[in-house]
Amino acid sequence: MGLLLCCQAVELTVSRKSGKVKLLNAVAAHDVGCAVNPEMVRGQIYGGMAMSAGYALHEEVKAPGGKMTTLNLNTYRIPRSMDLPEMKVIIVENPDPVSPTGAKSIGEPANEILAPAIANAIFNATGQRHFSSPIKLGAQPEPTACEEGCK
Amino acid sequence: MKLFVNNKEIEVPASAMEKRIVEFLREDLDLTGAKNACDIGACGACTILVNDEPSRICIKLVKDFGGQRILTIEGMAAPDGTLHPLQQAFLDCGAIQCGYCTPGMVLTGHAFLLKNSHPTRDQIRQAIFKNLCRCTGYQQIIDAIEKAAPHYQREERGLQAASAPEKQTATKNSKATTLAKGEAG
Repeated sequence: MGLLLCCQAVELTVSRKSGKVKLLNAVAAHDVGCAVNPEMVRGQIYGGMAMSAGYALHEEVKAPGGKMTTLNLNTYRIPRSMDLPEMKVIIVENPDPVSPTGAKSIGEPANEILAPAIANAIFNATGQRHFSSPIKLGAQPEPTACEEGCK
Repeated sequence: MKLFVNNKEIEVPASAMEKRIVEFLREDLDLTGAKNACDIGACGACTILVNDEPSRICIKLVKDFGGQRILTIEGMAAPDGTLHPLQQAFLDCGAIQCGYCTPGMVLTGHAFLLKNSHPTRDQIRQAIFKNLCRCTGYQQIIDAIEKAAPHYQREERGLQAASAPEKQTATKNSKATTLAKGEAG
């Protein structure tokens, strides 16, 4: 099987008062081998990015004491249109010599790497590392004199 | 009680009054476009248009809709099966994956474009805010609604053009009558 390479990047802001994360821009570049149906490939990647943004910021199954409390879509919060940024997809075609059409997989690869990108971007913005999802940020500390000076 | 579903008048039997309207449409009228997904009005998959306003029907009863004009996804296409330009745009942009949210999305987009035929992408995002989609990330749905907007602009211009000549002829007629009166006087 050929090697599958992909990369996603995200731009975001963190509200200092509430810790709310707002995504501004997201770009994904995926090596899909051969895009059999380019529009559908784009759809898979957009969808994967949206799911991944949900994993990183909202989606959480709560089961206190073993009893599930997230039973429906009002408590299990998946991303709505306003939560997501304008997304851009770059399709890279680098045929797989082993597969019959040269195509590689795209469903899952698109699904998993925006969450780490968001975690990294939050680290870049706040200096805090988060290793579990969803990432919950409280109020951010006031800027230090040095940070103010740098601006 | 009567309902107007997709331009057809439907007599509702008394036994169906207490039914939820989504069940009435799906089971009694066989209009299975509106989906019953979350059952609590959170996801928008059951959206239909009631007097051109999107409405979530999984939490509403048949008796609330007496005499109202209802449009479901089955009524969007022409009677001969030609797709509505908005539906065609959804196909062309690849805005459909599993298709479960699609009827609600198309109808919400249709109601929005009827009100605002020159939308920005942000306005479209706000318009479909209440409809959930798990597959597409909304991007191609927004592309599709944006792509269909020129059709609604043309329709709007057509309506304006159709109503404008009437006014002109009306003014001409009134002039003619005043002239006639003048001549008579």
